Amino acid sequence: MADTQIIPVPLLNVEPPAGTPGPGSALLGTDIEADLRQQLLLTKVDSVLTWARRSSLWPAMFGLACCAIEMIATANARYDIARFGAEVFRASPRQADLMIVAGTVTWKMAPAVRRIYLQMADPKWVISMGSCSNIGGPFAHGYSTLPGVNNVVPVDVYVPGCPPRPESLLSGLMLLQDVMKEEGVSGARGRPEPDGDFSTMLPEGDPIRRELESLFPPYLSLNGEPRDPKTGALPHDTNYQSLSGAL
Amino acid sequence: MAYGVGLAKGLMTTLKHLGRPPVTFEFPETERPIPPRARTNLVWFVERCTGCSTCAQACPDGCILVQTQPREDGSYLVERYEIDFRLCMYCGLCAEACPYEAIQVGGSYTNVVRDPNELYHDKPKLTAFANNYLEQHDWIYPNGQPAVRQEIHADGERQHL
Repeated sequence: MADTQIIPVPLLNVEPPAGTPGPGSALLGTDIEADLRQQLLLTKVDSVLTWARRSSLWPAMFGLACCAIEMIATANARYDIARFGAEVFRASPRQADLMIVAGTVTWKMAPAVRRIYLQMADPKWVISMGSCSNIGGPFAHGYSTLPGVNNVVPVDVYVPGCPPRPESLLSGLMLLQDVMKEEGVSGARGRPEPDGDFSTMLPEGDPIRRELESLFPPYLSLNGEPRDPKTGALPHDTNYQSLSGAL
Repeated sequence: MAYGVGLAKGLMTTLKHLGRPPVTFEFPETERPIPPRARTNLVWFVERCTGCSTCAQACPDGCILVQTQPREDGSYLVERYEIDFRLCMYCGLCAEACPYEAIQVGGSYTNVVRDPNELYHDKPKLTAFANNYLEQHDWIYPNGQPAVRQEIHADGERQHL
């Protein structure tokens, strides 16, 4: 044990590195994997952890449109998503690793989708299922539909189809497992993050645009007020303020 | 009514199902047979296409682009033929509309990608896809007609095998 040099650093009290955008990021936007990459050397542990992660992907149980029916069919005995360890559809996003965006994402639903994604615990992956969530599908030029779910959440794998057959979704799941194997636990993610800029899609002062932009870093309030740097509380959130006073 | 008849009936159902083979199709190893008129991916055959762009007019999403140029003999040279599979809703109306059955349904459905822009298929990609389909299906079109064994390049040049 003398030659191994693993220096455990308490993860919870890590100061945000220089360049982290916005106040409150130590509480709200902490990337634990980035911290792990900086602090620990993982080699064999990495492959074991990756194997465990990709063999027990728990999807969040939510469906937006007709693609959800095919997602349910994939979970049934005929196709049996349990063979890939992804049968545990969790009703709470806190317990889920994988988000299958199955269906049309309307502007009305987009903040909810983003919020579900933020509520999921890291590490988390996203599969965009069907033409509607890929780029808007038949509603791509409409007024009410988000042109691609990659505008609100980072997407790992795109599954084409309208709706995709269960085989297509299983192919997407297998591709995602390959991606996880390739990236590993300590490797960087290859998926592009959304920039949170909706100025080209929604007009100024639109309530949905305001709500969506409040869900992106630096997580300002709906009125554009900054959060408390210590607790992440909003100025009008009296409960959190009393808590921060107690701390 | 004797006590326990309902229980025995229920257990009989359980016993019947015990001896039944499993219904699961283990997908990557065994594929479920696809019905001949199932609406899967579109396959476009350059050797059947005349460039009339009826498919593009029938498409409700407007995801097919056809650009042609007249030849000396009055026929059309298909310069560009592109399908945006990001938009496509696989309704098969283009295949129904095509008078020469140059675009047909019946392709593969496992084309999952990491970059959505890979789903935009241009003419070389569609031609390679169609050639691949014919090679895998013993040179028979999805509608059941036999195809000539030839390799067709994206520029329309043909090479007999």
